[in-house]
Amino acid sequence: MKNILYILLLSCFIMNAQESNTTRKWKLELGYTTDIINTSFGEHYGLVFKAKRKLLESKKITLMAGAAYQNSFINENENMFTDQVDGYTRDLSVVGLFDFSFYPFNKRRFYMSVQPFLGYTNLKSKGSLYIDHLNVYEKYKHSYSYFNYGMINSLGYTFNRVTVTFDIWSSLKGITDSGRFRPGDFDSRLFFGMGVGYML
Amino acid sequence: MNMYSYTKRPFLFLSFILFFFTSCIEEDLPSNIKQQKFTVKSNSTNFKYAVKIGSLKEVDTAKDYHVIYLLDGDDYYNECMQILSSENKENIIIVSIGYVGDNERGTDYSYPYDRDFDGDSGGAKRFIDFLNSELIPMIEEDYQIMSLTKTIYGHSLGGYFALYIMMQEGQKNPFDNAIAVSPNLMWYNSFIFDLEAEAKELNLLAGKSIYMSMGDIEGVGMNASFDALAKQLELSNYNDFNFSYERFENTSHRNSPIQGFKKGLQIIE
Repeated sequence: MKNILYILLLSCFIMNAQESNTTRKWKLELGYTTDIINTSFGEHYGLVFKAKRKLLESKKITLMAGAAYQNSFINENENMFTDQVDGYTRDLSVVGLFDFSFYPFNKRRFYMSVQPFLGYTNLKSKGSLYIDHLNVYEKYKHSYSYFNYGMINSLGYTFNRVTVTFDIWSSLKGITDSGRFRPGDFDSRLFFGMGVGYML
Repeated sequence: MNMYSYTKRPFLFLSFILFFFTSCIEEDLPSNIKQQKFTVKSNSTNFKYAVKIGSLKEVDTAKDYHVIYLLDGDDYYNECMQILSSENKENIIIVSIGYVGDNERGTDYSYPYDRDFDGDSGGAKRFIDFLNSELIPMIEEDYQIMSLTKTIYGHSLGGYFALYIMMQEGQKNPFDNAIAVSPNLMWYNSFIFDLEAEAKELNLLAGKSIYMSMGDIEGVGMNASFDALAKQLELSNYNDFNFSYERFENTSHRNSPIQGFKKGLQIIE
C-alpha cells in the first residue's frame, strides 16, 4: 500500500514537473495532524483541509485567501494512565484564513508561510469511567463551542502543481482573555502536521 | 507589483512567526510581597529544591499562620502570591516548592511507579519523607514559622499527590487541608479510588478538609474520574470531614490552577 502511494506521488510530481503555476488560482491542501502535547489523554488523529485562492503574486511572495476545515480526535480508550476510561474528545473547526508565502530562493520551490486564521470551533467530550471491582460508574458528556483564532506556520516544497508541506497549527484562543498557556491546551490546540497541496 | 521591501527582511518575517510561539504568560511577583528563599538538597529524594517563603508582611515569629505548601512552585508561586495580595490574606504564608535543575514532579508526585509514564515515576513516598523530615522541620525550626494549619496545594499530578498524601496510611500526613485542582485521578489505573476505599475503612480523613476542582473542558477521563471521586467522598461518613468541590465552566487543564487556588482558600481558616 505504501509503495503504491509513493509511486502515485512520484508520478504526480514528474507529470507536473514542467508545468507553470502562474495562471493557476486555487490551491487545495490536505494534511494529517497530531497533537504531541496531549498524548497522555489518548492517541490522537487529525486532518486539516484548506482551499485557498491566489490574490497577489510577486517573485518572492504569494498572498492567498481561503478557508480551512480542521478535525481532530483523541481516543481516550488509549489513555496513558488508566484502562477504566472509554470515550473520546474531538474538535472540529471551520475557519477563514490568509496565506502569506515567502519564497527565499530564486527558484520558487521552497517557501515559508504564515496563515492567520479566524473561525469557529466545537470541542466535544463523551465517554465514561467504569471501575468494576469498586462498583464505580460515571458518564461524562460535554460540548463547548468557541470563537477561535491563531496561526498556521508552514514550510513547503513545490513541484509545480504539487506541494509537500509541514505545518504547525497554533490556536491562540485565550491569549486576550487571561489564558495561561497558549497554545497547547484543549481549547487552544497545537497541532503538528504534514500534507500535500495541489494547484488548480 | 513590487513587494520587495518585505522580501529583503526574511528575519523580520521569521520573527513574526516566532512571536506566536512565545505567548505563555509569566506573571510578576507583586511588589509588596516579603520573600525568603533557599535551596535544599534532599537526602530522601536526592533532588535539589528551590524553596520560597512568601507573605504579605514580614513574618512575625510570635504569630501562627496558615501555611500553604505549594507544589509546582516554579510555575504558580507568583500568581498565587498575587491572589494573596489581592485578597489581603495576611495570615497566610506560602511555601513554594520548585526545583533546581531538572523538574522532577513526575517522580515526586506519583505513586505507584507506572511503567507507561514517560520518565521516572513512583517517588511520592520519598517526597513525603522529604516533607516530613526535612522541609517542614526546616520551615518550623530554622525560619520559626509556626502553623495554625498546614495545607497542601497541587495541580494535575500535584493534585493527585495532594489527595494521595491525605488518603495513604503508610506515612505521617502532616497536612490538615488539601487543595487538589484538576487532579490526575487516572494515575496507575485509577489507583486513588482503591486508596479512598481503604481510607474510608480507616477513617483517615476525619478532621481534614479537601477542596477539589476540575475544568469542564479537560476531557472524559479527567472529568468522569472527578465526578466519581466527588461522589465517593460525599457519600463517606468521616467525622468532621469538610469536603467541597466544583467544576469550572469553559476552563481547560492549564487554565485551572490559579482559579482553583483562589477558590480553594475557602477551606482554610
